[in-house]
Amino acid sequence: MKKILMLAMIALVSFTSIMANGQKEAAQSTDWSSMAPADFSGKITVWSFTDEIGGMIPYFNELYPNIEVEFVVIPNQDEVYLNKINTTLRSGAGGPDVFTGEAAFYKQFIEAGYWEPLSGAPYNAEELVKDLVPYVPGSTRDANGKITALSWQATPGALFYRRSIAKEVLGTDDPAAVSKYTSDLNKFYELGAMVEKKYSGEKYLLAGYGDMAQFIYNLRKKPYVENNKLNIPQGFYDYMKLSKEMRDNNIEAGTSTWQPSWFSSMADGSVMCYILPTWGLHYVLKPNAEPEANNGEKAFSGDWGLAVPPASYSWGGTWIGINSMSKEKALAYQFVKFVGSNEDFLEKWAKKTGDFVANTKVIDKVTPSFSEPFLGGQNHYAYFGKEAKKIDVSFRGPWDFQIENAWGDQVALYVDGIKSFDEAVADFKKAVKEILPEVEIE
Amino acid sequence: MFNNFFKKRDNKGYLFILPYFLAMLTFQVYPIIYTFFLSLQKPINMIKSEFVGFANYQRVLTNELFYTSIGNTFFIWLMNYIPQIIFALLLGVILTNKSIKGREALRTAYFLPNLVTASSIGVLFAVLLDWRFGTLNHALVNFGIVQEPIKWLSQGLFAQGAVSFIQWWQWFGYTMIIMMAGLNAISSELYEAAHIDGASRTQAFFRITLPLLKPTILYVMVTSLIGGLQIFDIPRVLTNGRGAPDNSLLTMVLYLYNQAFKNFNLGYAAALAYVLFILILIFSALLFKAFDEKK
Repeated sequence: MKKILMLAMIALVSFTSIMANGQKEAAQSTDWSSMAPADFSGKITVWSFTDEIGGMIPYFNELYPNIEVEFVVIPNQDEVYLNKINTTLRSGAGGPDVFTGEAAFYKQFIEAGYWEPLSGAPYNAEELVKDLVPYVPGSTRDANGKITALSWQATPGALFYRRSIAKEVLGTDDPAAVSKYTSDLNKFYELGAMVEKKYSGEKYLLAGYGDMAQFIYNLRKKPYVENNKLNIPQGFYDYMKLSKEMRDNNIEAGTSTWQPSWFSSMADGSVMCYILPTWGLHYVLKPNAEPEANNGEKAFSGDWGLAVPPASYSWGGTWIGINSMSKEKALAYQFVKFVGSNEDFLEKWAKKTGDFVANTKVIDKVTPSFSEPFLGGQNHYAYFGKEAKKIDVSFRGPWDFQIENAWGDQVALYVDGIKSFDEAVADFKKAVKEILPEVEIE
Repeated sequence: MFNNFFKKRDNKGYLFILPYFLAMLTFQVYPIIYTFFLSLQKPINMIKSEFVGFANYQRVLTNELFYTSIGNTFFIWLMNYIPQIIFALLLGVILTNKSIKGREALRTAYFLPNLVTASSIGVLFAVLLDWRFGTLNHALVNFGIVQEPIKWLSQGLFAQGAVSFIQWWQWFGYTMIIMMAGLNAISSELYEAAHIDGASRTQAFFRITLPLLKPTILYVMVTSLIGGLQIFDIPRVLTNGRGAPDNSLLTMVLYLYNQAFKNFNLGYAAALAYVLFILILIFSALLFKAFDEKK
């Protein structure tokens, strides 16, 4: 009995000392503005679903030599990352000090209060906003209007095309001339018919109609769920009909985005256009279209160009915030602030990776120097800089990813001729009931 | 306190079973109880939930899609179980015949598919069956068997058939080995006696082999049913993971998984898990009873 008592006492003492420690740190950290970067010392843990952050840590440590960053990558294949975050935070055990969230679920994180609000003292993240692409911090505002996360990147969308096909079909591969056809949905369809005719069905405008989904999902003003009611935007219906027409007229190749056949179509030259955003260029198109050149084994062919898509859009993106249960919020914020706003770092990062950054000063600074060999020397930064300003994602909600997937499922069934238009719409409503049982659906 | 308890020689045995019980309590009993507790809750957001009583169970039992998922699961299971048991039995009988050469090699070959992870098989078949770029359609079109590529995975029935086929291909070798074990346990004296009495091979099969193999068949049936009701991986990877086309691959466990980890409704998923548990319990009990009475 004595032993048990002793054990309990030891546990209690160590517990209270840990608690006291935590409180002391919180008290210490009230005035960070006067502290030099080297004054911050300690260790933080960062979780993310890609290895991008790993490449940023050396830059961070140049400025903050005394903050040790332990970085853990948990890929989100099969929702593993998402579930790891959920179970860790639900258990209340703490977990990482900093973690990232992707466009598909960051709104859920914000709604659940996973990320510490950063607008007020001691963080004062509002000071950073004037130099950032507005939607990047803007779309992380919680119900109280507080910024909860930052990001190093903005993800406006573009359209990439094969110059050789453009030349044969339009007689020119000039981005401005091609954009005349790609920037308007009706003209875009016409272009598809021209490609079909030119190659008698051997080559296609798009790898799959689903590639259009992202800009179509951005063509709305209202959230899908407002006042507990489902809004189906007109764009949804147009998309369904257009997709069917494209399939029936052999304008798209019939692959689905992210399927093996979709990736392989990038290399085999059978498809003219891919509708992809900033990251799609570096992480999807380049490594799949010209894998050898991307590994530095030979030069890029320069057979690709960037044109204006039928509508402006933003696709994906990664945000980074502080775990609201972290005990090292002072250190954690230094990391988030650095990654999300430090001009020096973002400039180096943009030049090294070509990724499109979220700091407008850096964008203006690096834009003149960019020339992408994969795009035949085109300056994608200049285009993305203009597009980023147009992005408005104020209509985004926590369930968009699920709702858009449910619509996509029905579009597939309609396009494949399994269902009629009305059946597909009715079954979409049923599918939404499965996701949000309490939402009213007309 | 514990020291005295374990000093008694009679009580030392508890120490030996303690590790297993600790593991079982932590990893089996506790989750079972916690799942029930979860099933009485409804999420407010990803972290917060509220108590709703048995509302989740009510939603499960009045939901059309839940019954669809039961139907899908049973259909996929039956379509694979029937050919599987027939193949396994026939091959088992043939391969226990000592006069057949190379039966060890054949046995291994039939068992091999079982060693491949289900998800890689799913991905492999997804590539084979892709409608415009898939191997199957390319072959069919090139041989002139069909004019236009067929959208295999857009047809619910075909997609279910493909899952059943994969399950069959993956599992008949395993079932065959179990059958062979059962067959080897049947005493050869019985066959000799039957042979002397003038029984034909067919008669011996139906009068001796089948009746004596009943416990083995029962074992295979129960394990296959329990496994079959939990089928998840191949329907998950063969199409988009949401049960496409048109919920035809939405099995009970896939439905549960998607509700818990894609729609973040742990309460509803926990209720589904309990209903699934009770269903499996009932079916196992019924099967045992049916085979018992015939004895």
